[in-house]
Amino acid sequence: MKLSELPIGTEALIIHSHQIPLRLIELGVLQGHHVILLKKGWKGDPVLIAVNGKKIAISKELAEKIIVRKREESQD
Amino acid sequence: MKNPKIKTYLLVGTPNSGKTTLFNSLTGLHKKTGNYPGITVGKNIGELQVEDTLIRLIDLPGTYTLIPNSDDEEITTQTLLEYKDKIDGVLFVGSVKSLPANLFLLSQLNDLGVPALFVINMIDELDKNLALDCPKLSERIGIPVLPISAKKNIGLEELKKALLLPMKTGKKFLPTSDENLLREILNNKEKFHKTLTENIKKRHKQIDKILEGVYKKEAGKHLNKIDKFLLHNVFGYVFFAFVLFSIFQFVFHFASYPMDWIDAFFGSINEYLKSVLPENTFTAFLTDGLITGINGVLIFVPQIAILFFFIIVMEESGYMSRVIFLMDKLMKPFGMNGKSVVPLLAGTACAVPAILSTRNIPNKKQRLITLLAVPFITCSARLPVYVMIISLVIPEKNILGIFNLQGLVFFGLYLLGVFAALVSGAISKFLLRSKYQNHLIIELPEYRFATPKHIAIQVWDKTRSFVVEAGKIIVVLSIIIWFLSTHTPGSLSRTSQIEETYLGKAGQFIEPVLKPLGYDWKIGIGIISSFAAREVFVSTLGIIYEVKDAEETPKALKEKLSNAINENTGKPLFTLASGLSLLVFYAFAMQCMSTLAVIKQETRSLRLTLWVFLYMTLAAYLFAFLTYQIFR
Repeated sequence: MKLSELPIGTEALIIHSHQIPLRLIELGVLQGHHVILLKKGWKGDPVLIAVNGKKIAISKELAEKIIVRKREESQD
Repeated sequence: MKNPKIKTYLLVGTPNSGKTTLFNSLTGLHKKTGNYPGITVGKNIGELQVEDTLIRLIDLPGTYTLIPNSDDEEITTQTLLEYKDKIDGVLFVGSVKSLPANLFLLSQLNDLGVPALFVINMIDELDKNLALDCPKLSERIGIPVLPISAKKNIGLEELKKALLLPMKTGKKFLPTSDENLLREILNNKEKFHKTLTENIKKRHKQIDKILEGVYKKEAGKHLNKIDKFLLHNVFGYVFFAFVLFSIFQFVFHFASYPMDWIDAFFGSINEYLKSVLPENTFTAFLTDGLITGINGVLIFVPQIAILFFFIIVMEESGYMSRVIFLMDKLMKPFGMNGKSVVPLLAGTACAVPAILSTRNIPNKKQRLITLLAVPFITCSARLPVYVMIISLVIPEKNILGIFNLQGLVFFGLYLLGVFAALVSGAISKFLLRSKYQNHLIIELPEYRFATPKHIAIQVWDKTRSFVVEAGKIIVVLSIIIWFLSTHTPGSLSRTSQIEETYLGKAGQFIEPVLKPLGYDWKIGIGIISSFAAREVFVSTLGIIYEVKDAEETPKALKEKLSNAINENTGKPLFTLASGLSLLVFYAFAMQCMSTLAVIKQETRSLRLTLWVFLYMTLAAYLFAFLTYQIFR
């Protein structure tokens, strides 16, 4: 599922994140890292996530490009 | 730079790691802003004495990476590349809270082969959810790791001692990356997108491995209570509106006293000088030109300092990035993003520092749009003009029993400024279509208290840079305008007949253009002279109407002006129509040389700068014309 569709307060594993700005990859948004969705702004934009030990706010359009899998699913 | 008794270090670190706090507590106020050849932006240089060695620290802007995204970050990369062989090493500052991000930047630094010392700040915040093994980390990255707390004064003495020792070069992270790649990236980032992506991923893999068993941080799955409130989709906005309201209350309430003192101080200096010096051109130059010009700069310092105080407190506490989160969606239709809020807010004091603060907007297009919108925001130089005209043409009465009509017009002008800035943004967005996308990426740091000393130093720095940047232009222009308003073409002696002077002639020359707006040549003189800075309009009218000191005797000026007759129509000069027209003119017009100079400096485009001047003046003329015709 898309990161932007993740329910608030859930942790997920990043599956892939194509065509996102380098800055986001540098901040740790990349395959294999865990991400927690903390808050969605007005009409779901921007999105606040916790990744690589930091809280980062990103535009909804970026969150839509990041594909994640909920942690529970990843265990089976 | 290599001298046994002097050691020079670059201070590098990620944002929100407490780097500047450390810099300030190590060097205090012993610093200067220096310019290095090839780099136009000033950097902070601080010095401290440890035993027999003078340690020189050069504070570089915080960055997450050496692959720069904004002009601010580019400074760090360029300085590193340029000076890495001439310095004694890098003092690298991280924080226990964001070690993975710190290591990312450190990995790039290590690969450049720069010797470094890794200082980990906020060590006092280790607890059951946050653990770190410094010796093990040091062993894995190949350079010494020193835990400190700049705020609690832990480890600073050890740090000073460590600065006396030679620094070590750390372990390489990527065998392939070299500095030539970095140099090429500075010119064309897009070309290396794929290589860079691969490099970044490899770095992260190594960092994850390094931190395994060394660092533990439990991330909470929910926002804390403060953020639940401050980022709330309703209360968050209500609170921000309340914050803005409070800031403006403070700025207006508390700035007026020191402003009066400054004015009175320079007024009495001028009076004293005029009484003791012989009455000649030099005395007039000194008092009416130079000192009046300096007064014109310093008068704004209280407002600017107070506003910067609030902006810095908001930034240092971490609240500003919450504001950026809240405002992002609202700014999007106008071609800006949440980060544009900071310059727009600073613009209520002065456009010059506001335009400089656009440097941290990474996207070039959004930065330009913000930069072009800022001059429309009602700055403090417009206030004396607004106050004078409103008091002349708007009756002092209440509407609906509670609203003061003059106050409402004043508020309306503020709204007009914001509205004009947003419309400017929407227009620029349309004109500047580009492939860049409008994305927000911003870290929300944890809330923290900045020490009063740290805030004071920053307010001092920002205010001083305003006085220097805008000051030199305003002073020079004040002197030129003094000359033009006291000298007549073809003669070197002064005259008190304003219509005979250069300015008077110029006012008469442009009068036909100003007639449709309801002005006469005297207002024309005011408009021309206030090109130096808007508030000069008030003192120029004071000179024209022969009020001794316009700012000290506003009543006398008001009386003279309300009796003034428009020589073209034979009717009063300041009517509701001409007054409103003039207010609208000053709301839109680019009547500020310092702003133009800083736009030129930041955009490096003379064409764009002239274009800004042209369209703002045209907008001012058009809307002033419409206003006059409607209310006539």
